[in-house]
Amino acid sequence: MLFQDIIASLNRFWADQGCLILQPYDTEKGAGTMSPHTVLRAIGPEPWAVAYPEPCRRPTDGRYGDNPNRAQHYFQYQVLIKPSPDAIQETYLASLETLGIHAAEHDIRFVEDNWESPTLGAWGVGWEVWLDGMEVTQFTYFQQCGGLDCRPVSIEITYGLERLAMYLQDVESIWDLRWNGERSYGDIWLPFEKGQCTYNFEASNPERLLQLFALHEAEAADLVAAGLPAPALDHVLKCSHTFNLLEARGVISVTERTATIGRIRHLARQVAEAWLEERRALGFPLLGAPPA
Amino acid sequence: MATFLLEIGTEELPADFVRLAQPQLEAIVARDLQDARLSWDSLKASGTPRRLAVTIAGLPERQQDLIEERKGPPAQQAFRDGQPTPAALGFARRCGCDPEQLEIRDTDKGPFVFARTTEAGRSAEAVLASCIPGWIRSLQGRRFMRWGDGDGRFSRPLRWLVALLDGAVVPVQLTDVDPPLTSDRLSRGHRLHQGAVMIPSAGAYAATLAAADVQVDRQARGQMIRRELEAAATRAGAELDLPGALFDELIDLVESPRLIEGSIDAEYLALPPEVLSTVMRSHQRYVPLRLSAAKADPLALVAEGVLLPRFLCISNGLEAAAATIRRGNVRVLRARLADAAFFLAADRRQSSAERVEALNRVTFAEGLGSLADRSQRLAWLADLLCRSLEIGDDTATAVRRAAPLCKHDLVSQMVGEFPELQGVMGAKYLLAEGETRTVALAVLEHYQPRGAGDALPESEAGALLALAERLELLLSIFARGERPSGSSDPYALRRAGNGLLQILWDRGWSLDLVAVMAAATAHWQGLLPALAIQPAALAADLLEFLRQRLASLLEEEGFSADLVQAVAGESVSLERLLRDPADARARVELLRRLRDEERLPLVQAVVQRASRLAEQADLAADLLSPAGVVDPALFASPSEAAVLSVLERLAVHAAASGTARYDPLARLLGESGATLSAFFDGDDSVMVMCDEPEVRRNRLRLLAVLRNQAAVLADFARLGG
Repeated sequence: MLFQDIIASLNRFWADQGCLILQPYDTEKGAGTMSPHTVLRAIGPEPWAVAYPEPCRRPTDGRYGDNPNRAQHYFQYQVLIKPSPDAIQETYLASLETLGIHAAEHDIRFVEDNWESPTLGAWGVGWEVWLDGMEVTQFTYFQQCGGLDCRPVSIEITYGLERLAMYLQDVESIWDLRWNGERSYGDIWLPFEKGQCTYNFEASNPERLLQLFALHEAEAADLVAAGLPAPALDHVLKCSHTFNLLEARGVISVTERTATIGRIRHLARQVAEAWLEERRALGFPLLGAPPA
Repeated sequence: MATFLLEIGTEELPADFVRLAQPQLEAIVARDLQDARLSWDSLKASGTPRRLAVTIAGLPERQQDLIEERKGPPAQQAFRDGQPTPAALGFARRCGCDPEQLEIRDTDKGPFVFARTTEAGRSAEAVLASCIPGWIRSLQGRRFMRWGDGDGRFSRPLRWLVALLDGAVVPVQLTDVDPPLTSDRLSRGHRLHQGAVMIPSAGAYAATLAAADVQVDRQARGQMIRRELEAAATRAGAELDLPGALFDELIDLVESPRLIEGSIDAEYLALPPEVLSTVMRSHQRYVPLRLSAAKADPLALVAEGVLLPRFLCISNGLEAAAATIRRGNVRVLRARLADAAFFLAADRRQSSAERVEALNRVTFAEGLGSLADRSQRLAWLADLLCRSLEIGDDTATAVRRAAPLCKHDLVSQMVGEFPELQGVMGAKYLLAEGETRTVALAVLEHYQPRGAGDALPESEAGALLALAERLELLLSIFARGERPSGSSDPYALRRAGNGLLQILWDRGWSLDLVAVMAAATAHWQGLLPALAIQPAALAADLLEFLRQRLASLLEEEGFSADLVQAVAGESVSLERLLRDPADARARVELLRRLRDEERLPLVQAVVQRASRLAEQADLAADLLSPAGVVDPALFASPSEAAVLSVLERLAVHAAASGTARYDPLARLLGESGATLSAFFDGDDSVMVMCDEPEVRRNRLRLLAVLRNQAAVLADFARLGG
């Protein structure tokens, strides 16, 4: 199955399950969770059901395109449903069937993996899904987001698209994946990968990155104070990405990491609270909507 | 007699919860059945990733009737002329019996009226139905969750409930979960088994599930797995690299275990064995195969000769899918090892010296400089320790060489990917570059112990470096003004403090921590002027922290709290305790031995009796000898001279140094019981608080010297009975 067909199949499948099919959010982020369609919508009482592909950036994972299994830019397919429905595991397994992965022909397991995003002040419990020993999906019941208890609880399903595709296409390198019938993943993304890695590891200016971090932090704080959670989140995401760039330069020790993450989390909590307030002030308009 | 089954159906539970919930379930159910007067023949919990179950065999149909005797009014108020009074009638009514059924019996307070009441036993079914929700709610585990719109919490979402008494459903409802659950006889089989599984009766549970490809008995599942793995190892002529924790986990990751064997290219044996086994065991839950029983060299650079290029995997798939499953697993492992090989190659292109240089660019913590700065402070401490402990030249040279290098692998790619290999990789890279084994081993071991129960450094150089590492962390983080509090200890300072003491105890090193802290805090003040360190206050805080660590470590090791308080409690000066933590440990061990041998009460009695009066003496607490403070010319009785002679003998030991003095000190204290009794109560006894001030002072001083000598051992006032 071609890479673009995997996304199309998942879109079709989750649309049939009543999910909104949305597009990626336009800010750099380390995971699909950080999109406001997940991180903000998981907060509060309003029901929500969404699915979208999301490009992710993890500067430290870059290997200049030399490593067949790693890249600093890749794709997740993200599903978020609130409240988490009964039989969601079976629904997920059915989504794999539509990709041609039949449970009876494999060893598919749900192995405990409790997700935590210290930067977002979010955590949940769930599993990583193993397909013959390969982790292909992260399954999480959100318990807290931005430090707020999630009520009702959302279920988040995050597919690792490249891994699934490598399995389905039986190729050994991410760069050899067929995106469509003509172009490979490497044709499209390799030119960016090398340059981005050079930037992440060599060309970025750590001093300036530290300044950028401080600027985005200040901007986010001001926006929260102004009661504008959506743009504030954008700057929290910028902080997070800038922090990741600093990490790629190896200029942050484990100890310092804890402190910096704490600063981002502090902002993320304020954004979450401001968002909940904003929705409350509107009377939680989606509460009246028909269930997804 | 009936058999009962409860099956709690869930989404996949964490492996450790499946294991830990079973004994909990057995204990709660047994307690409730006992409380409910229901007897049983056997009670057994079991579980798989998707269910917890408890089966109770030999249950009676009903609870035993509850017969109670209740005491009423005194007989003379209850009956007048053989007729029940209103008091008796009221009592009988409250007890639900006729006045004629009241009995009169004698008690200590004279004759009273008694009634026997009988509460008919409820049916076992009704009792069980009322207990089940409580059983589910009382299970405990890590990180319980809510799901959907419900308030109910459990380890993972509850999805079905089977409750059967023989063939009949025991009606139970759980309403606080989403969706609400009602008990039924419909279970589910293995995930690949289609449709619900009808359990005809409680007794048929295990067999019915077995037919649905679920081995529900955890122990049996473990045996199956163990048998398969061992057979495979025998076939391969190797042994299993299977720590107990991994085996436990494997059992609870499958409902229907099937062995899958896979091979990887022999080229991957060029990776260090720890890399292979970390990937296999921690990341993939495979069992590696080890070549020989001989203990592997922790500095081995390659897995060749240590591990086989094979792995064992316990799968949960169908037999027919085995080839696909094997192929998939081999592929994953290959990709992970290819990654590791990539990291190794990248790391080897750089020298350790270059990495040490790179530590300059990594911030350790705000205000504390870079990791290179930390390494330098650590090296300074390592040197101080070598001198304080009078370490031999060879080891000291290796420690001084290893100290500035020990953090270099933190900027290696391999450790970036596998943080659990910090130290291990650093050591191997150094060895490969031509450093001595002693230096490499010191780097490897300086992270030990990683936590409670972990191995301690085996080499002397490793132990010294590990001490320096922990001291550096404590000094620096404390210098920043941070202290661990409650559950918040982000820098794992408590673990560092524990490790420090454990290493000292393990090596039997007498380290003067008071002197070390005094020197180090002064040095830190010069290194980190921005932190405005006050050396004396910082040292005092660190020593108090270490006192608490020392006391809590001893308690965790099982020493009674009062013994720990007597040796390391707040009444003992920090100086006394931390000039030598090994000495404190020797004393608490002696006290425990004395208590085990029932010799402690005698010593305790002597010291406590003397100490009570000694409070009124005018003697400093550190005076250990009677010479010059007790005047024999003032003695009025031979019992005083006898006490003096005891004190003189005790003084020899009390004033000595080293731990060898404690045994004779304790023995002599115990033996002095008779002398002291004669002093206080015998024919030649004296009145300590006599009217003559000089004589009184002299006698009080006798007792105060004894108290002081005993305090060399412990603060006896803290000891319990």
